[in-house]
Amino acid sequence: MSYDTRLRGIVLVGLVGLFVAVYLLLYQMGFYGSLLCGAGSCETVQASKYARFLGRPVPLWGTLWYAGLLVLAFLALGPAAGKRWLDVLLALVVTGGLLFSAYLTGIELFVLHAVCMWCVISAVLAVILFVLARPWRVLRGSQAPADG
Amino acid sequence: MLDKERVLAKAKAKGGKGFFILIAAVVVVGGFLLMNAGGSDEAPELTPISLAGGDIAADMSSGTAMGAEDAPVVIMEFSDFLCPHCRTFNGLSGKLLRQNYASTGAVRWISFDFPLWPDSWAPAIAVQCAKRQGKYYEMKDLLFARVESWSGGGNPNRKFVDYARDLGLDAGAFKSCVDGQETAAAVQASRTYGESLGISSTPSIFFNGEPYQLTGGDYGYGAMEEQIKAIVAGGE
Repeated sequence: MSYDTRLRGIVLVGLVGLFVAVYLLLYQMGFYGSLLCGAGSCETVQASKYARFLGRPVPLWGTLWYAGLLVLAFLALGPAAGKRWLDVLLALVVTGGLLFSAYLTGIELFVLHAVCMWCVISAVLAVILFVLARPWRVLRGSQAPADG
Repeated sequence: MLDKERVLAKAKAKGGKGFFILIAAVVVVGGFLLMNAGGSDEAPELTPISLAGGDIAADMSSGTAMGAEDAPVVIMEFSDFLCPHCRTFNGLSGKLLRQNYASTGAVRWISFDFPLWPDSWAPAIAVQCAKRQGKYYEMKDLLFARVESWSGGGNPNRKFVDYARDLGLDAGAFKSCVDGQETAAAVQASRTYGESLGISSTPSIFFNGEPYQLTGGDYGYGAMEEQIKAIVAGGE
């Protein structure tokens, strides 16, 4: 898979994630009465104290994360294509997001014993983004991203 | 060579076009789902309160007490969360009397919820749900302080859950409690007890069992304080 194709994949997956995060954020802001939750215990998770991080709703951080990823991917596709600092930044952001997502999934499974379908979707998206961004290669620096 | 470059450029342009079509598709579908995800921007209507039968213990135990059980002064307060005078009373004399006298053993303060309006039940149920976690008065003060925020119409439970989180309560348990209206019977008992005392308006105060007329700009604080001091001094 070429570098550009992977970046485009990041944009598309990131866009889907952005909608998920905005949906949860709007719910937390009271825009929706209840969450569409086909499986799991979305409201239990969203009502828990872990639904906030650094005093702000977790979906707000998710929204910022996905939006930031989109900006970085667009920059890498266009005006700043091929810049090493951008690839490193993208790799760090994706890795940070995956770790945070893993932490939240751990909280759901082992502390709350409740799983929110939307959180699972977001976690899966974080894994896909991680695979697409290939941070292990970028951060190792042994292979140019363009080599695919 | 030139032909090959042209073919590559054409293929890239075609791929780019497809990419933007995909982006547009995701935006349209995502936007549509966001607009329709909740059905509307309103929280769901509260289900009608289901009241219990005649086995409600409508006595003084239906109130929420603070202060020593053997305090020489017992003040009972009946209030409604949508009543402006109750809000002022709670913020002025209620809070001060609880702080200055219920905590010293001079006063036993007992609060009763007396919802006068259909919309007054949800906050009364919420404060009783906070009572389950030991924070009745903290929630009561918060609900009065933020009445403009939650009383705008619709279902206020989402905001109440936020307040519960602010107070450090188990928000999940609190949410189940308010959504399931699990404390409706406790509110009903409190109200029924007030009715048995002949109450028809709020705030209604009883000072050592006698109806008490609130007077003065301080909503009775000075007058009650004087009486409390006199009773405490007389008992020594």
